[in-house]
Amino acid sequence: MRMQPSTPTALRRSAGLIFLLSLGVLAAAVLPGIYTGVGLDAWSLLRILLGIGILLASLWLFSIAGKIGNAQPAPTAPAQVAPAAPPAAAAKNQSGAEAVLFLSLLQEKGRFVDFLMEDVSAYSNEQVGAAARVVHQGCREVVNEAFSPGPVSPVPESSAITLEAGYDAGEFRVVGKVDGASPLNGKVVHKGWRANHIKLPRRQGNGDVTPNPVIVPAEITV
Amino acid sequence: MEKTQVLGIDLGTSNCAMALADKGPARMLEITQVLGPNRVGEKNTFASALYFPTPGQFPPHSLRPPWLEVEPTHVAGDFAREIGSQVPDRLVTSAKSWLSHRLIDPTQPLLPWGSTHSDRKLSPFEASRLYLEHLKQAYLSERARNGENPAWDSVQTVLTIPASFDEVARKITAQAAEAAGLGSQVVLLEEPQAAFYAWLDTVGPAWREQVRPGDTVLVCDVGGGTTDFSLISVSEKGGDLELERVSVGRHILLGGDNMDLALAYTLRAQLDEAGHSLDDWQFQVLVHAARSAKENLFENPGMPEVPISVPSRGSGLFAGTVATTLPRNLLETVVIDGFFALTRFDEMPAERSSVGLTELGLPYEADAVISKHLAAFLRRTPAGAKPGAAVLPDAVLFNGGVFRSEALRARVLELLRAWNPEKPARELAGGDPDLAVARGAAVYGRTKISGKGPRIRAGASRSYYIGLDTAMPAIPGYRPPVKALCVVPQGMEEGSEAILQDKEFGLMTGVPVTFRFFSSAVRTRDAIGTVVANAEKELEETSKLEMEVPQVEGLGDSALVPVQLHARLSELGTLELWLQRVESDQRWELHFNVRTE
Repeated sequence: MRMQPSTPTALRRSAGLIFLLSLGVLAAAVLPGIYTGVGLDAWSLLRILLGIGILLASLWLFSIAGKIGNAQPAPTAPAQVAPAAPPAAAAKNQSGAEAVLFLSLLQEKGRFVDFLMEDVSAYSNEQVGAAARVVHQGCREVVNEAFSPGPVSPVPESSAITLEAGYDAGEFRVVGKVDGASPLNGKVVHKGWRANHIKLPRRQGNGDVTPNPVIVPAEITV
Repeated sequence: MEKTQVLGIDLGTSNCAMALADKGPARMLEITQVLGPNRVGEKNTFASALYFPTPGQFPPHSLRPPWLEVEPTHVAGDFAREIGSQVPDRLVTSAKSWLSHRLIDPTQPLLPWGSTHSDRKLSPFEASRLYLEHLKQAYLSERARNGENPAWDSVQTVLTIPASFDEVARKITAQAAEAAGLGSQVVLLEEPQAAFYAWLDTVGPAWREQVRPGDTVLVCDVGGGTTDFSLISVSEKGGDLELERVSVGRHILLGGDNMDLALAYTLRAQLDEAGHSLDDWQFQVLVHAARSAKENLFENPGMPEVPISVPSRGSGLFAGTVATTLPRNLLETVVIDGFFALTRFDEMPAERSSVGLTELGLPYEADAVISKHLAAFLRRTPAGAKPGAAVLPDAVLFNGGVFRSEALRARVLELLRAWNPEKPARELAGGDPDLAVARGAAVYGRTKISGKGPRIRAGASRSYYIGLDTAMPAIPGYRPPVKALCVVPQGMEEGSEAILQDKEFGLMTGVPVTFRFFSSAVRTRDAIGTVVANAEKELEETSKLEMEVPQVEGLGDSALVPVQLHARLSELGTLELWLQRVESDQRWELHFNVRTE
């Protein structure tokens, strides 16, 4: 495990978690449709939108945590790009930078930000489905490589499970008629996901983290 | 210093991998590399690619690997290949195949091939050196991350090479390793053998139950860009089984990447028909998608087709994405029947039709059917066999990423069964086609140090000859043929020495001497001293041998000194040639001068 030590700010940590969670929700929404080769139905779309909502919320939390300022207003004059000014005393937000790094990976391999930032309502389910495959293939590679997700539950969904007293509440979340008695007999409704390893790219180089870092640079062909 | 750990390096044509053997079982090492601007991380493999950014193309120091203090002139690894696929003029790939190119000097700066940026060109030698330097640093940083700091002297490095590499390509690889700081004791090991060592290690003592005395095992190694065959024979000696590598194939520039490209071209045609034309960038994406789809279909035999989407380059994903599907029957037509067709045993690969002028480049195969290349390899009589009788393998060990697919392994076995219905070849179970070569190199190194564990005897994979001018009266308009004398017979064992006994040469001191040097992978029965009448026709010219003998004390300015030729195949897997003075112990080493025509 080679995660960079991050500032132990509860807010930031939870933002990170929610960020990852939203990825999970998004994957859960997109995966079934792709495996069965069926186009996205309204329910999956809804789940995608939910995922997007959580993701944006987590990014917003990041922005608070890292004191990331508002984006500069877009320049109106086109054309000339001046040489980059030497970085001013920039906020050193290392953990925020690592999150942006991961986001840029999802964008580069799976067009994740493109997918989220476009208005989905203007397109047919078929178009959204075709684009979702691009996102699915790329993001899946990234997430598999970084976390190698595997199920938490030892038994498949819809099957019975018994939780002995003292089970790890971090691994199993019990809902329904919870009365505190043990052992608990229930049914797995979601198998859960666990990161089987954490293998994240690290930030390298002299550049300080700017208040509004680039996720992916604009591409110019010459 | 005692070697306590072995670093196995698979310096691949398209990807490198590393494995370590110390106390426990040999294990793969992750390779730290630049994954993008300001981004470093670890991957199991390392793309053999170098990219030269222009000044200012990326933010300062953003492509610096963690162990470098200064701004590098290049970036190596996966990111290099990725960015370079869009700027091919500044991308170096396939350096390894250039090392064994017969018409170029691999120490001359000529890569990227055909690039117009003459300011930033690299020799294949230099590119290999840079990859190896990176791998060494990645190894050291991996150890440092685990809180260890081993002395480099305690590390034995084993570097794998294609079995088809001739003496010059081997020597250059060894020199590149030394120049990269890996030390002068780097051991070279042929890749198919490395795969076999990995198999021996995986199966353990039970390997003796999977092969029998008299068996011949085919190692069928189809990598990303190259295909490499070897035959290993099993015999019995003193109640134990002995292994010997008896035959190696030639360098075949054909592999899994060709299959992905073939699929991508077929899919592109489908998209074209549907009215979507792809630009170069989209085509790269399509190649990648075709590879994933291929793997997906091979892994899931019940899946009828895999949908494929190719996005446009701009940020608009929904409007610009075009979609098609890769149906199973198309995959089977293109990959299984296209590359592994059920051809007859006497069907030979098509030769490139020779026209007067050919563009110089890598000698890619004209015939993509691997089955025919396999037949051609097997039909070359291996050492010790009856003349004219081809040896058909009893067992096959598969290696290379494409053989993760069960369907392709089954097809090769089917092909061999059709060629030899009475005794169909079986598959050696327990192989690991993906990363076996690096692991096998580490296993081999450990075996070599400890002296424990099965070894494959492997002699010279080729026979070698020096050219002699024919002494005959001059005839106008007639160039006498060059005779050649065999100095190293095929199969000569590692660590042994051959002396050309009955031939004494007169060596002129004080002037430079050159010999022409030839080799053959086909002439298996030549012995030391065998004369080949027309070397230019029968043999392949490998290089020139050069030396200058200083004046010998007591013999005046230029004297004729009687010498004998000695050849030794070193334990490291390289060939040493020297001239030994008959009357004394004085000796002068002959150096390979890489071919330049």
